[in-house]
Amino acid sequence: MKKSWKSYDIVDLEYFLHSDQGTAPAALQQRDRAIFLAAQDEGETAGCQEPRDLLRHWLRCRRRSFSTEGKEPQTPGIVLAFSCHQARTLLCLLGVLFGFLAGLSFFTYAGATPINVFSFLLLFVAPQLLLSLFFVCSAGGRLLRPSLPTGPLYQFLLTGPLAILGRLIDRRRWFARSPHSRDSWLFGLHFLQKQQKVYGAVFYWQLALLAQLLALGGNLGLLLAGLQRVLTRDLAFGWQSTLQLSAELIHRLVSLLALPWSWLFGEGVGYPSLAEIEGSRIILKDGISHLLTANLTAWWPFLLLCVLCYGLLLRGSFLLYSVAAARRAINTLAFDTPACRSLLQRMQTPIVTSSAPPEIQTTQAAALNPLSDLPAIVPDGLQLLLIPGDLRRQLDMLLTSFPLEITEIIYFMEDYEDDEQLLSKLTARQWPEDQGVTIVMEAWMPPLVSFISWLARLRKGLPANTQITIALAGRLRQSGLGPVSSQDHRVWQHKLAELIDPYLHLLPLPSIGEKTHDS
Amino acid sequence: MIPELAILGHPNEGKSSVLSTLAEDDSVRISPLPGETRECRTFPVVVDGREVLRFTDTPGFQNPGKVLVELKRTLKQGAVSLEEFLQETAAVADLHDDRELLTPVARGAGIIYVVDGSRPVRNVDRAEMEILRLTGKPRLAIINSKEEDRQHLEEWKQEFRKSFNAHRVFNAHRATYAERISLLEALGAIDQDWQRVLSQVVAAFIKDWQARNETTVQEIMALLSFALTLQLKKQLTARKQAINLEQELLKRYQKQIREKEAAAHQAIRVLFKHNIFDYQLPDQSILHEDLFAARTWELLGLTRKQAVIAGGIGGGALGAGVDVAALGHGLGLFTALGTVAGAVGAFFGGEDISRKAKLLGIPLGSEMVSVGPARNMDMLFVLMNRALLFYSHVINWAHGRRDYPDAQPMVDATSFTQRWSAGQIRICHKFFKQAHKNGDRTGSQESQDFAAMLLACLQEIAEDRQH
Repeated sequence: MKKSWKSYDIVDLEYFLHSDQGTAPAALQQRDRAIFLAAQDEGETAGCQEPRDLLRHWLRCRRRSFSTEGKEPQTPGIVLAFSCHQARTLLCLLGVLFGFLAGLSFFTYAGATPINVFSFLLLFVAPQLLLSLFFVCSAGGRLLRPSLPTGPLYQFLLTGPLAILGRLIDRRRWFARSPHSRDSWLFGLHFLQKQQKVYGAVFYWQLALLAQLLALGGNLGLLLAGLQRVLTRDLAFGWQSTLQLSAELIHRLVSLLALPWSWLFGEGVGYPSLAEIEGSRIILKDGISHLLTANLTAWWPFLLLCVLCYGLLLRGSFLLYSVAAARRAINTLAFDTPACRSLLQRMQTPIVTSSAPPEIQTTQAAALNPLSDLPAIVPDGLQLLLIPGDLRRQLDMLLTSFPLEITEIIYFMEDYEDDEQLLSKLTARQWPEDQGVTIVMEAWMPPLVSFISWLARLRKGLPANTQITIALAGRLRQSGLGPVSSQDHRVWQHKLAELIDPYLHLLPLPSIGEKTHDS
Repeated sequence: MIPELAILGHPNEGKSSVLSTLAEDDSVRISPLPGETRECRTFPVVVDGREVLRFTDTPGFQNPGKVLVELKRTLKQGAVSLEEFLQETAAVADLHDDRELLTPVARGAGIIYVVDGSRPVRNVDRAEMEILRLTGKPRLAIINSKEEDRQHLEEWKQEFRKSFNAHRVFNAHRATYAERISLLEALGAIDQDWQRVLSQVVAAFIKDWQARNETTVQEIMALLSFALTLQLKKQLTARKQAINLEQELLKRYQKQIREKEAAAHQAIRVLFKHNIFDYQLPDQSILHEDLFAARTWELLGLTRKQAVIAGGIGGGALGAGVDVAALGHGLGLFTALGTVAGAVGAFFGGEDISRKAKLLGIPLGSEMVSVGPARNMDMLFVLMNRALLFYSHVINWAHGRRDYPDAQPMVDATSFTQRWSAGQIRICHKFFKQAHKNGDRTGSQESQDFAAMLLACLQEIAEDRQH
């Protein structure tokens, strides 16, 4: 079953994201992708399509690696959660205590002056009603505009008490159990102060929850104190005012306040009747001896029911609302901060490499010999012209680029076996002394082993001083013949130099029909 | 068994360039001579630690005529035997490279045959194609044009139709990201057995590319946020110091932004794996101009029309023009900040500067001069355009390789934003204002919209839809 996010999970998420700053991106990519893949392999991400689920899983893995020696990890979120839990209990107890003490001190009657009902209402009911109204307005505003900024009270709490607490923890090193948990504490407090814009709504409701607990405790304490006094003491209640208020007016106000319970506890039970109100009016100069006891004791149910209704029940419902609102605030978090988006991207992006392992150079790469070993000489004398079959149609154009006395033109490089036969024929014939061989080749085609080997065997079969000229032709264009580039020329020079043949010449042919530019 | 694809072809045709571009690996073989490399080299494609595919670079054919003859000798019942060929010719030194390149094919590799489409078909090429046809392996031919000459393309395509399952044009030195992906998808189409693996590889490449683009966007936005919010202040103690102080502050201001820009560009460069190969920008690129040069701002800032649009949206966003070359007043960079001490001193007529004094139009009843933050949207546009330009260069691959001594350098786009719509200007303006407010740290709607717009722009550049 998918677990839902808690507020302390967010603190830990931001903590881990913060601690990743400064780590090399490649390392982060490796780690986060590994987390995602491991989860996939274990089937844990089967239902994790939502970003929040993926982030939750990532958080779980990071916490696991954070814990030492199998103990529960002391991450800021967990430390904060524990502290919040303790704070809730403490606030509740404090509330009960203060409420009880306040009640005990208020419900005191020595026999002279009855307990002032108005004072009770003004001290313990009216402020709660006002605060409830404030809470309702605030909650309503947040419901309509969830991105509403947190109010000044929230700001004050963060910059005031929490900041003081933070300084205390930092200075008093005995406060937190270990440096780890102290750092976690400090991060948690710092986070609450700084992350309002993104997570303000979540922690606002946490604070609201704490406030409700305190108030709830206070009301409970007050109620208990009231009940205790009513049961064990002789109390009298009355009302007094300098303003000349009529009993009818008071009765109307009281009836209004008693509306929530008047259906259950009617007039005379849940709230005093008109006669009882009239009979409990205190005029100090007249004293209270003439007032009936029944009238003086008629107020206590109303007062305690006010505490129950406008204190306890209202606070209780606000508490439940705060819990629900906090949960909704977390459930509607988009987790779309730049850090979260980067993390999700790292998790969901496969790590792709397509580089070859480093190459082991077994032989030194040969450098081009800058010096030309093969002179460029225009062949003189009679020439046997060998030309690749591919250049058959360009023969006439090629011949215009250099003057030759040609005895025979032979097309070759059309078929391997034909070339072998040609080689046999050429090496078998008688060679006149002044006849050379000119071979036209396209300069941009680097000489292959097949050609070099064939040339070497040709040289072997010819008389030792027979001139062999390799005429290099540039690229064929529509307008004519391009120039031979210096790069291509160098490649041919280098390859042919391996033959170490003093009677081998290389002749780049000039361009035809184009402006010459050597690249 | 891991699918393997061998890259075969004539020497010096661009096999290594094609592979380098496909694999995004710039560990070039350092040899000016074709045919010097005599061993195969494998480029494993590893996705999440698992090798899924393998590309093998091979030496070029050196003796195709002889190989064809020897291969035909092994012909039995219509099929040649590569193993037998390799065995029979083991002692023939001239066939070393040819044996080496056919070895991966013998072990089952598919064939990617690379030719230079800017030169004509020759008999030796036909022999090579016949050899590959006889192997019976899945075959894809790639036309990689090393020069701009396209007259031979049709001739090549006609030859390929006789011997290959499919062919594609793929210019390694300017292949876009989309063309790389398209080529990988085409490889999957030539053999059904490879489709699943190639689809997986394509999906991984696409995701990886998207992630890199998103990181690029983050780098650019961090740069912009820094530049738009940078403010430097310094105490002013005497009137005569004012001009020097302004100049000093402006120099520091410009230096910091330049350095930040350089760091961002470097981060983008590393993202696109220019690690070994020292990629150089084309000589004529505007990126060689100083960031704060007048020409940079004229070309890459807001156009007049855009300045009017921006001015209409938020006011005060007119282009700076050549004022930038001056003290930066056109950028609205300078402000004079009053301090209480300065005002009090001036009131009592002390040594401090009188409130009525002004320097270059800035009232100086103050003890502090500050430069920045920029109030002019031109800053955003100039930095953004420079970053986009830089991105458009680094995503291309095989510049300056030995295989391409005559490769034409990529032409700079003038400005990527000059054709942006009013809506896009509006998004920029909102981001500009929001960055001023809180430096964009919280993923606000304005920065998300701006990021989405940048991402779309990067994708257009990668797919070459900008031109």
